[in-house]
Amino acid sequence: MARTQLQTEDEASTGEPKRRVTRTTWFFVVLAVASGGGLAWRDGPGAFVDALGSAGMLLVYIGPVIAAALLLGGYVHALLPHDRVARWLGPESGWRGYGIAVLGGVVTPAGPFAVFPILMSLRQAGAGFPVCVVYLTAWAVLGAQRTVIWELPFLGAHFVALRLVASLPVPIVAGLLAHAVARRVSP
Amino acid sequence: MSFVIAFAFVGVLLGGLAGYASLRRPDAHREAFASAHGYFWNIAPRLPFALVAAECLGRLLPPDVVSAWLGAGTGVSGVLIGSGVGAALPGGPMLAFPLAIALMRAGAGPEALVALITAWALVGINRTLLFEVPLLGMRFAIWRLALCVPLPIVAGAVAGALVGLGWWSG
Repeated sequence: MARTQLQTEDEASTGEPKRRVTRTTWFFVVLAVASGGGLAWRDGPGAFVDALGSAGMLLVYIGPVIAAALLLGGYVHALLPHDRVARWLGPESGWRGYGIAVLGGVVTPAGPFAVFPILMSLRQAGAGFPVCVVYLTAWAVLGAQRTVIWELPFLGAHFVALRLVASLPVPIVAGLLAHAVARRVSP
Repeated sequence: MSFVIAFAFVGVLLGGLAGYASLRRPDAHREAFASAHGYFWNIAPRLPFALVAAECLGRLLPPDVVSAWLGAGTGVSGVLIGSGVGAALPGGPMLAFPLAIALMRAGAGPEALVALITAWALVGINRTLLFEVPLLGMRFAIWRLALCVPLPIVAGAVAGALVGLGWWSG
């Protein structure tokens, strides 16, 4: 019950009405028309047709991955024990809490719809600023769903491996910095 | 090839979670499909246009400028420029990743791209304004953003060191 309520709030806070064609869609339409027009004007219509073909191929390849990954995100969202997560990361969790925060960030679905409401309930359950920063940072740079849907198909496994290893220190540095300023943030 | 790997990876995880849901929480199936359906209709109308835009923008980018600013030999300045571009990049992954592959094809180096993606992932200014400020407060958002400033440079530097150790062959 609580979860359905949460989702309605999410939709409200994106500021986007429940229409198929939103302002963000128009942004992409305008961008596509402008860049496509620019390309056709500079390199001729053939170049534009060629670009259209490449984009179409990419769509055919990543379409099934995206559809499956969205369903995966749905399952993670439905199965994640929100209240228990808040307890795991609460004020008494200590170092274990930071480890769980990193793992939690990795498995939390991509998109702001899940991560920010979870963070809000963490704050309400008494989680400190550093553990919240570690969670948010781990979600941003190590999040598995975004990496699998978007990064792996576009940039390849070799680059993904390099970026993930390079990003491993990021949540740790973020946690240390957050620890240093925590008193100024939380009352 | 990476599409196949990605699809297989998602498929295995999906099978595992769906199996778990069948055993323990059968009502999770309906919830999962409902939220996936919502996200799908959010993404589906935009994706074709985003891909066309990124493909055309990538072809419009002058390769000599890209490799001079973000190329493999640019080191620290490439990482700094990549961080700046990433932090300023609006929108979700639909634009960021196709643009990243366009930059890669135009000659951007891996360490600059790591910095760019890290900065984009950490800053995301519209996400901060729409979600972080209303749900967590201005103070939280400002401090969180402030301490994220050095992080793309950290990731870019580690990537640069890994590339220097021979982790990158193209």
